[in-house]
Amino acid sequence: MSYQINTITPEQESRFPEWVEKWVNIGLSTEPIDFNKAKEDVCSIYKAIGLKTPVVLYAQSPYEAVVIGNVARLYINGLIKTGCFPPQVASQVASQVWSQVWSQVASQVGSSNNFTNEFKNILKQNYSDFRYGSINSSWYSYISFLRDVLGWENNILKTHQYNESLAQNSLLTWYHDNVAVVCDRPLIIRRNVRSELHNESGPALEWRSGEPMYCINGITVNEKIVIAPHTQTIEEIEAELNNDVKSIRIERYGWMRYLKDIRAGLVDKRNNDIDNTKEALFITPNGLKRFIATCPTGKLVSLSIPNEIQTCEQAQFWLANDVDKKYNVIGRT
Amino acid sequence: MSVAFLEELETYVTSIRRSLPKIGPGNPFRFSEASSLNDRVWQGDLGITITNTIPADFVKVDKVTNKHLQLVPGNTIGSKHCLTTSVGVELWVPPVFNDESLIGPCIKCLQDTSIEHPTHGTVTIPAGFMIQCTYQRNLDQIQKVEIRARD
Repeated sequence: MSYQINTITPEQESRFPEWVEKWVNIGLSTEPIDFNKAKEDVCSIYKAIGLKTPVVLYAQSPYEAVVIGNVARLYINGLIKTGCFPPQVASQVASQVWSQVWSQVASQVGSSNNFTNEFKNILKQNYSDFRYGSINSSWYSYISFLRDVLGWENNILKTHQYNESLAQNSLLTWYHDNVAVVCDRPLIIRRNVRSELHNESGPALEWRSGEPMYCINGITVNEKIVIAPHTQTIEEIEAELNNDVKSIRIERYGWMRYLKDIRAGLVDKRNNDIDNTKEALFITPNGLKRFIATCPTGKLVSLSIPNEIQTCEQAQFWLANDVDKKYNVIGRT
Repeated sequence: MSVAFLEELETYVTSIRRSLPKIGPGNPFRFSEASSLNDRVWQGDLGITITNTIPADFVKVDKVTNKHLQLVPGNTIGSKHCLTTSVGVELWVPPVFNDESLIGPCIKCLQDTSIEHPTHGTVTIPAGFMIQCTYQRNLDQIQKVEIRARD
């Protein structure tokens, strides 16, 4: 039966916060998963779609899930070849594929530098065969609200309940025809006020396997940019192709140092008698304009401004969102 | 002729205003009772402007509590521009108020009201004045939002 829900009642709407709280907590949880429960859900999903019960394995990170899943799939299908990955890994896989000690195997798989090109190609082909669990909480929140509060009925919901249950016990699951790998939640998640992954002094996210992930305001960056930004070179910064990352690189390197090191051109300078500041306008070799001003608190402030700005005065009016010069600035403290 | 004279007067009062004692680094500032509409002081990147208009889409806060005292969204030290009290103020907030906003609360001061900050000087608004909070533009932020919108 198909039907439309056109309105929701105030009582139904009043339950939004309950759903938001429940699923945000699931999505941001760093508690270890109940692997046995997750395994049951995975087997129920395979059964529901008419597949044989798979080998269900455990991983501590998405990367580990792809590697473990592929090693197990090759082994089970009799496709493991000598030299595909380090011998000690292959033998461990053979002896432990049916066990749940895959984190130990994964730790010996180690860096992707150990992989042959053949195995790397296999990983490239199916690294994205994930179905999201708690990482896609918003979806499960949406569907369960329609079902539980708005009374939506549909046969597909019977199968969906296994996915919904699995979402509460896995970050995501890597699926294949006869192997599934359930990925545990991260150990640590650090975010900024906009809820973006963010940490200026260490990993923004750490997997249980110990793999770190470095992010600044939601942008993934390398370890050096976070831990030792001052050791970056101008060559590294200029070679950065991603503009978001380049902007973070310069910010972390220090704009004043960057402007000096690249010998930025001085466009304008003045003593601002009203604000009681000294100001200068610079242009980088790439054509970016940067406005530098002393701050009454004793700091130097560096601000990005549009290229059409030609003077320090214009820069101040643009920053104040007052290009019509409507306001009388009396001072700055 | 009259227009030219008015402009001359405006130039003259502007020069008077500009030759008033400058605000020292981190020193407090008190708006004069003779302050005019559109007079503005910057407390760091918070613009505090004398106004007489509440934007039409702003929503009045029925009961001003401690959570309304911080006038800049965020939890960094730089965002701690705070009213010293919720007593004697009426407050209106924009429909959307987050760290990308360029306009913040509108505050009617029924008594002398101060805005403090950990590093910048305290700004005091005399009783009877209304102020509008604004924020400096940030091109990096604008471009980030534009990129997000394009995505």
